[in-house]
Amino acid sequence: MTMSTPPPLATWLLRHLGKPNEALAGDLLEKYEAKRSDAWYWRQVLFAIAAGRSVDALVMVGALALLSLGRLVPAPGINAGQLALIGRPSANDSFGWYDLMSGGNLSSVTIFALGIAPYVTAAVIGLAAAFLWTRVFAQRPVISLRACTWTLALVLAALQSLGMALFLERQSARGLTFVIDPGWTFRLVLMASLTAGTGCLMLFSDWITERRLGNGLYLFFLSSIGMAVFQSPIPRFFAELRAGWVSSTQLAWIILRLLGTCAFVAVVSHFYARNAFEQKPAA
Amino acid sequence: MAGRATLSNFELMVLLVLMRLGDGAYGIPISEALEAETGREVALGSVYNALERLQKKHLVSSSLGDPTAERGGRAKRYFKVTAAGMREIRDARRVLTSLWTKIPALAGRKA
Repeated sequence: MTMSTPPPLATWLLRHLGKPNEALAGDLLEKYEAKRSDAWYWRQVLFAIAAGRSVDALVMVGALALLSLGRLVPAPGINAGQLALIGRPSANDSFGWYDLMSGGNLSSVTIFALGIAPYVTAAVIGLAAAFLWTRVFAQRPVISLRACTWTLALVLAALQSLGMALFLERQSARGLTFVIDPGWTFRLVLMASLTAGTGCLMLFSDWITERRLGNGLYLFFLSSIGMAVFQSPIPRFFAELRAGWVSSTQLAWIILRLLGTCAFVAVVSHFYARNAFEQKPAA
Repeated sequence: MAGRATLSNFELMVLLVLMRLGDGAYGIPISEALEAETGREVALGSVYNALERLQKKHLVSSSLGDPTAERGGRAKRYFKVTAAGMREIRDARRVLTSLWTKIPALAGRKA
């Protein structure tokens, strides 16, 4: 007896977009064998995807909306009015570059000022460490990659926010400082709030990856870049271009760097999701 | 009534079909039985969604069968009503019957 094959595209969509359910996939195949039509299979697959993902998709839209609102919340202890008085960083210098990566949150010092970047950095270090461990000891690392990456990302976020607090304390414009009350209280509060902001993005990112809605890490990285299109960094960059402050060579370099960074983060996110989230059979 | 599971009409129908099918209840026979009763096509995805909700409420339990070639090497998942599920069915019947008999225009008529 030859087995008939259901539409491959529908099967592919079910596997990649549907909620993981081997029993349902098997049932669909078994019933398709019993002289069901392609139209029936397509109908069933599309309904299974929609029914299985509708709640998740709604929650994800809600989560992204919440994050967008969070971008409007300035970090505590910062004189927001004073920040608006100074000129924004140029897209052509390193501060402007990091501002672009954070979707304009860095120069605005919002609770998401650090963005998802510490998680990306920690994932790179975690993957490299896991690779080296496997090579040297010929066995899988004893600590889970995810736990190791999370810890490292939070430590990096805390250190970066401390550096940012110290940097902000030294800045002033027209005789007024950016920080309302400099000192260790401000530094610790800024560290706690920015680390919590990044931790919040990491939680949502993991949630998206776990539910197979997409690669959370990459989605948040891309959404930060996307936010930069609508917020200050990219419109400011084009204004600099029109004014002749940025040359065409510099423009080509920035575009190349942006594409290269996106490709690098895509590769890191892919390997991180594969190694930190997918179940592996016991050895 | 705190902590009690609430059943949708579709979930109650799935529970009743599971009871009728007994040990051989998996996705296809469940959807076919529902199609036969309702006269409409029932999507397997909606059946599995209802079964997942019932499992979360501990009203249904499941176990995996053996993988078969006709299913592309995938196993069937068999479902069974739990003791809590049985209590829920009896309770739903009691409430629905009581409501039904209190409507004079419908009392005594066949559904």
